Amino acid sequence: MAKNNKTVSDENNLIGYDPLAWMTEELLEQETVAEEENTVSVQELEVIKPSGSIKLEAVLNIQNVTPLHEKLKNSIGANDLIEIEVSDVTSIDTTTLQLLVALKKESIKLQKIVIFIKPSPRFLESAKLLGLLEILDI
Amino acid sequence: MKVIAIINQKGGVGKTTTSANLGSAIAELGKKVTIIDLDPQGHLAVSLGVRKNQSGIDEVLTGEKSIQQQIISLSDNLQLITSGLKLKEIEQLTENRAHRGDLLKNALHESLQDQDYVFIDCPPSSGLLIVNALFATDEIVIPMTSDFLALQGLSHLMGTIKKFESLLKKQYVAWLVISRYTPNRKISKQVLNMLLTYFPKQILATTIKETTLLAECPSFGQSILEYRSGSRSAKEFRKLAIDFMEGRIMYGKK
Repeated sequence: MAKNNKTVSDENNLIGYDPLAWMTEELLEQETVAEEENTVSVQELEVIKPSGSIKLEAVLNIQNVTPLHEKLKNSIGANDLIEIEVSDVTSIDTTTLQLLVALKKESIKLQKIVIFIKPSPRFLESAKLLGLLEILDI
Repeated sequence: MKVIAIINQKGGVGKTTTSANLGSAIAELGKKVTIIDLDPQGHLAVSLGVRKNQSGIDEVLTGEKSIQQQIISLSDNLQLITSGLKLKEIEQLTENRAHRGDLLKNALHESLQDQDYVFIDCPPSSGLLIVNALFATDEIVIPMTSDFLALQGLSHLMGTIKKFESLLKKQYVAWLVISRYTPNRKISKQVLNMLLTYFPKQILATTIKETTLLAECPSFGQSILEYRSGSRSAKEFRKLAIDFMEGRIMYGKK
């Protein structure tokens, strides 16, 4: 089994890259580098929160996809985890769904997480209709 | 009293199913178990037959009620504390940020000392509620599905846990539970093999297979042990309960 981030050449392997490889690398680093002394305050917990939260509008169509694209691009650049709440969505077109699929694919490439939370019935219905439930991980 | 967080920031990996059924199986073995629903969605309570909207751990965290006031007894050994409608608001609190992380820990250690196990069903997020759960516990159970995105999610979760270990100067006892397992899929075996490579002594021995019965039982408000006591899924959770209590792990590659 490959333990790196490169694409695995074995055609029987169904896992393209190994997202856990950093754990081994970190272990190796720990063996060679002396552990730093940490003085920690509870306030530092704020650093732990790696998430960005975005709530999508009710109506999502080609007219408002550009600002949404910008927003998502900035968010994935700044956060390791993005929670996208889609509870209010009452209408979503294929352009916006394509954007969300692209975001999801990009997040995998960047080893970041995009999670869709509280999907509205219409969001689920549209994603299901286009066969995107699996790729959007809903 | 052992406090265990059932945690995974990815949704749909079986956290609530594991909380409800592992907790019930351990209670069936005669241990005193309390399960706390820390997910604002409140699915754990529904899964265990509590459909009425009522306050729960939310009002414990806000200091309005004590843990003892919020306990719902489900059987001789099993009790539940629901999430409550205000839990979502607590996740979004912005004041007194420096002191928010230990709300749950303080509440638990005041009470529940008579319990053998306290399971916390965590939400699929990484906000204040997860911070509270990780503050309150020394042991975590990570339900994992055997697909690529679950591996990706696990990578992120392990990063979060390592940061907490560093900050709190403690090391969590972490167990992985392979849930929603589909043994006939090649990728499932490959994911499991990868997990065995990285977590050779942490994967509990019994895999929980994806079954229709496990999908059905929450709508009847019953654990799988009540819904179909003799089913394969019920047997798997009974085995998993023993795995967890005795630390029985999976060896080798599948």
